[in-house]
Amino acid sequence: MNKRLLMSVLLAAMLAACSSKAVKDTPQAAVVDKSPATTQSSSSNDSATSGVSDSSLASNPLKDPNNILSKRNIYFDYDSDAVKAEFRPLIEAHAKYLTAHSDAKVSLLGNTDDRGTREYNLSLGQRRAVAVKKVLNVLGVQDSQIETVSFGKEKANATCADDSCYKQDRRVDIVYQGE
Amino acid sequence: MNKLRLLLSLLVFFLPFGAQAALTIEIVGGAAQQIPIAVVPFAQQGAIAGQQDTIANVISADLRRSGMFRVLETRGVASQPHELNEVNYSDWSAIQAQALTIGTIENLPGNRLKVSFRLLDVYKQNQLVGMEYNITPAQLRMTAHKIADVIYQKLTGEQGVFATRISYVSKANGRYSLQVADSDGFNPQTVVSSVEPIISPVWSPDGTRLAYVSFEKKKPIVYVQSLVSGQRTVLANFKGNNSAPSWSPDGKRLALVLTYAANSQIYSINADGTGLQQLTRTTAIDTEPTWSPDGRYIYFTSDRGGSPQIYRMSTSGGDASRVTFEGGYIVSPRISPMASHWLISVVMKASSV
Repeated sequence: MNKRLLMSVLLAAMLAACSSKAVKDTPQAAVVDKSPATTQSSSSNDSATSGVSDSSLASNPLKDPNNILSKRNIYFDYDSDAVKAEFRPLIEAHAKYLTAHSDAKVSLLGNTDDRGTREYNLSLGQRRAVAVKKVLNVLGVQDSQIETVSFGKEKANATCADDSCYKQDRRVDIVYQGE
Repeated sequence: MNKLRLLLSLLVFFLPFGAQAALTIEIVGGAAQQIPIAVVPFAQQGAIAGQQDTIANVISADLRRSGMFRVLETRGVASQPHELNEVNYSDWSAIQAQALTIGTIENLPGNRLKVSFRLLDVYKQNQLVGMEYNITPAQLRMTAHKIADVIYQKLTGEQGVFATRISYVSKANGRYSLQVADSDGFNPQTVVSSVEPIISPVWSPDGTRLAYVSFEKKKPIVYVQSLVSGQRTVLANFKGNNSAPSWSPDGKRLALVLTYAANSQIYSINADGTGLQQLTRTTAIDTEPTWSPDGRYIYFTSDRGGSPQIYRMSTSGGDASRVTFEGGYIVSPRISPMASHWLISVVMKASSV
């Protein structure tokens, strides 16, 4: 009985030791995969609706750097899925665009920073994406125009181990279909 | 340098290792009272010269890695026995060995080998176990793992896991590969690879199939792949995320996590993708399900109490009871196969996400 307890404690200690290693090592691994989720999507060869973005690059509000619609990242606090007030104008702008363009569709890609387990973070990223979706819904955007997807920590990009890096990874990206 | 992530299938831990092909598994710590054992290089009669150390080396490395053994240096010992009648027990009690392993490898017709080994008790001066294996040369390493299992079982009373395989995801040059290898990291083989992440591989109880989550379609989808035929099927591709597969002990069903109705909830499904059943109905995150060895319960991670903790419910769903209470971030329950009533969870300090 005591031996079993000892084994369990031992294994737990090993697990803990190994987990801390993973945190330390991941920045290096993450360097390989620097491309944020948005570029991943744009590099996909899904060109079915590319006409939307190609129609007129110069006047496309989604691409115009001076237009708020070109801003696509909503950042979150540590272990939170609360949409902060500062991102309200950004989300409202996208809601307006989506209600005016009923054929437009967006994917909300939830992400987390590198700490924690993969599966738990997958769920947290999902909850962040759903939090943004709920705001869009309240502003009149149809469910059929929104897909929520989570990458969890898999796209985490932290190249250092403090919150100045982690906060960049705690976000939802808005990606329009065809981008 | 590549830092590859290694995902052991029995217990999920992450270890860094160097090169892609030769995988180094480093395990720190061990039992307080390690059993001192001597493994004499096996006698090699005939061809495959230079191979004779393979068996003894693999056995020694397995036993050492388990943390339960202190493998003694044998080179300085005057006698190097291979047969029972060559054993001079006082040589081995002199270096404080409690157990001694000796053996031979002989060539058989048709390019086969006969591997014989004996495990001896140095104090009682008798044989604990002896075995023979008729194998192909390619089976040398696996045979050594089997012998290490026999030794481990005989001396510790617990079943060894050396003659098993591990699954893990490696990442190199921007590509993820789901690989399986021998328990010591040798003979890695790629099951599937993708530029998008692959996570959460889990073995079916009979070891013939892997369930895993791939993002190759730009969203998490759960696949089941046969390692016998290589054929794979989609287990779950529902709206939203599909993740965290876990096999039932009988291999007939899997628990998994879907976000079909917004937040992560636990479902179960037949191994062929039919018979979906929702098990949790909360507004919290419920994830990382794992079955108890008796198949009666599913343990899982939930933040329904504020921070992630471990909960337990019946495999048919219903009310869950909270299992852990301490610490701010307790996730990834695993049941030890050695003691079904012990729960191993990872407590992560400086938690967050």
